Amino acid sequence: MRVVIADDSTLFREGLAMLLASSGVEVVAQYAEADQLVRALPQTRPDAVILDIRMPPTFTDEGLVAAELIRGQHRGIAVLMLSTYAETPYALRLLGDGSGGLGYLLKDRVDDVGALQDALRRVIEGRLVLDEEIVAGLLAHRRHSDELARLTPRERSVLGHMAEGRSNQGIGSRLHLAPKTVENHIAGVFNKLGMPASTDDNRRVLAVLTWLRAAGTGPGDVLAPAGRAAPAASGGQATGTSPFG
Amino acid sequence: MPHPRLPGRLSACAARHRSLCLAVSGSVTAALSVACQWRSFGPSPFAASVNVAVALAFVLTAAMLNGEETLGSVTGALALGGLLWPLSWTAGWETGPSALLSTFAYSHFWVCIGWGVLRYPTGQLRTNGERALLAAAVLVVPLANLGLIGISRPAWFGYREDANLWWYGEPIGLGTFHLIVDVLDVLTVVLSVLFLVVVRNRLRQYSELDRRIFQPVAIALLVAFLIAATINSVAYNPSGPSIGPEFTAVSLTLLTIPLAFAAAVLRRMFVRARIAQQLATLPNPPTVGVVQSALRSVLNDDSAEILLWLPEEEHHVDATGTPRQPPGPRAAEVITELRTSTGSPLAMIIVAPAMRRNRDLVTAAVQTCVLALENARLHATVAAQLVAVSSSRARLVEAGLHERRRLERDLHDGAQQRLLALATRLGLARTKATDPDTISAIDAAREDLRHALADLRSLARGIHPAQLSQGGLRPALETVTTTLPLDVTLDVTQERFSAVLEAGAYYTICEALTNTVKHAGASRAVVTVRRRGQVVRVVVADDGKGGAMTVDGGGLAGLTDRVRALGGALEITSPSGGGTRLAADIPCEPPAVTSPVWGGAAVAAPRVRHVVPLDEGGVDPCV
Repeated sequence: MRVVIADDSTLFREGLAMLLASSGVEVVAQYAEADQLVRALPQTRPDAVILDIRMPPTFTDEGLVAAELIRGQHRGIAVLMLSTYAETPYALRLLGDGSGGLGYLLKDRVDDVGALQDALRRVIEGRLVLDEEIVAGLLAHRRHSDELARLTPRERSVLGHMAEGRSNQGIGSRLHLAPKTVENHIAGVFNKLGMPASTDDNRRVLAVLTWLRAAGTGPGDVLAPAGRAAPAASGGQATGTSPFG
Repeated sequence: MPHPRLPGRLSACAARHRSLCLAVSGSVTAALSVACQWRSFGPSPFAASVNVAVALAFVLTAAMLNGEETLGSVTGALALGGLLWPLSWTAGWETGPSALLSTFAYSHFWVCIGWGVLRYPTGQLRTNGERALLAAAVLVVPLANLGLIGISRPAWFGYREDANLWWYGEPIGLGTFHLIVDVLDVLTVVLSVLFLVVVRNRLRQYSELDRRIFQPVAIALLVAFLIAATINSVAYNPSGPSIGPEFTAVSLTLLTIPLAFAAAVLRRMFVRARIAQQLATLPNPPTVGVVQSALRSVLNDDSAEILLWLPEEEHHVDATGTPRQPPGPRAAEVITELRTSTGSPLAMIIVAPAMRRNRDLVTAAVQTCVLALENARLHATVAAQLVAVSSSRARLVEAGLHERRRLERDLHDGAQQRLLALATRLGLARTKATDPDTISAIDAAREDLRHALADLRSLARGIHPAQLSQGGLRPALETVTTTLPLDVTLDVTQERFSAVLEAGAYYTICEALTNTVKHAGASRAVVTVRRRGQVVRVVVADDGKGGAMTVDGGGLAGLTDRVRALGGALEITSPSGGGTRLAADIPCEPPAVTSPVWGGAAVAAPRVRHVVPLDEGGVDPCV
């Protein structure tokens, strides 16, 4: 695997490069700014880029802008965002187009080189990868408590892994379940939550995310573009109007 | 050329003893008029009586108006005219110098009146055109008349052939004489028309106030001139004891001139009364702008300005609150310095130079303003202090926000990245480790580090969520409400506002939600953020037990302060058992610094400080 890294924190960037190198990932180049990384892509030709989000010059969303640019112009290059914060709106902004080869993880995950390698491998394979903290936050939200209560604990963890972007096989190996059992659980989840079943893994991620986010947001807030991931039924939750009168 | 103005000292003396002056001048004029016309009372009693009335009216009006500042330059002309008019009728004597005296007096009477009008109100002729007009009038009317005597016979002037008159010169041919007379008649009419044009132009240049006062006089004079010039082409000048009806018409017209002057004086009295009335009915508390427009209206001077002295800031400001330097001592404008009842400087009132002649009216007006202005300044001072307080509060809010963002940035760039670098090293160590004890030690360290990172993250988010600056209220609120143990419905606009407003609204909502979680026992909450014109309305409502009370130093009091610092207002509705609803209206603009005291104009804060050296010698201390 050939990767390039852009992160303005030298300390973290070099630690990450060292860690990746030690586990057999070839770090082709490192940059302190996203612009330099994008400009050098025709020369570096990596399998994946690893991007921070807050970088010079404005320290706001340079990484996201660069990611969108790379996904527009270099379809073959996978993008893995490594950020200090796990912000759901950022994740949805990136994942919204439904095409794979994209990941969004907390920088904290670098303490587990296996997980990092796994995420890199999955994005290079064209899958979507979402940090467990974002998924946990969405699952923890009170507005879904009634519907989620209908799921078994096993089904709930399957839902979480689906949201993180794992395949049936990945879920099976994480939960030590046979593929057939995983399929049954997934069918149960889709059935109980009224989500349309999808065989495409990436579409499935978006469908789950959309369902998790659907309720409680303002009117007119379409999280997934129409025609791609069909937004799951919002479960009859009131949206945008005061429930108190 | 006779000087149509009484010498200054005589005029001043006459003004001091007005009654005596009236009695003496009235008797003398009456006696003179009767003496001049003693032969005319027989053949034309009515015309002669009217002439006595004209002379009396002129002289008495002059005596009455003597001392009226604005009419000073015409009173002299009136007085002299009142003496020249009866002398014109000495023609009736038909003996000795009477014809010469009559011609001299009659022709000079008109020039004298014309000159008096042209000199109004400055006491000077203004342009060379005016001087030329006057010179031409002197040439055409008195000099030409006196010259005509030298080339004619008394009979050609209308005198009896046998009259024993002083006469001079050698007569020329009668035909030539009539031709010259006709030419002079035409010239006289032309001069009258030119005079009319000049006076009309002068009226335009007068200040509005002068124009209002002097218009009736000007009209009466012009009518008299035109009638006299027309009659002049029919009958030349008085030439016997019998006074023709054409002269009676002129006399009756002349009578309107003193009447017009009386009207002018009345008008001034009206103006004075209007000043008192308008300035007495100002709204309370008055604004400087209102006082100024009242002053402009009563003085008919749109350039009139009030510069208020602000003792704290040590400079003058105009009616809009903008610092202004008063005009220097050499300025043409009439400057009046006003002082408060305690004698400290209050304001400068500046009116157009043309108002100098109406100084008494200006003084009356500005003195009526003192109380209103003192009142207005008091309000202005309080409003300015309010502006200063709210702008310093706004600066504090902004400084606080700035500090929070700096702290968050420092955390992000410093401690967080350092700990994350440490995470990479632990990850590396974990791959290298083979000894089970080392591995478990590393795993424990990793676990601790994850907790530390999570703690630091929530600390940084609490200080200032990066999401707020980046995406605005909506994403920041979505993130922060995800983890709350109650169902929060967000109806938040995607619109972006100023960083201060967004941060203020964000912390207000977070604090309100924290209160809800802690005290309300609610299961659901609704957060609404919507823009309504220039105001952002933030509502946080829950379905909890209600009964929230604002206690000094409590959470709700803190919220109220937070919203007020943004120039907004917070309303809390919390009936027992009926949930709690907080509604904050926050203006989109930073705390507005408009003050009604300046007549609605915005006051820039902080104001530029101008120290104006007060040159007391340059202003007229009128008060």
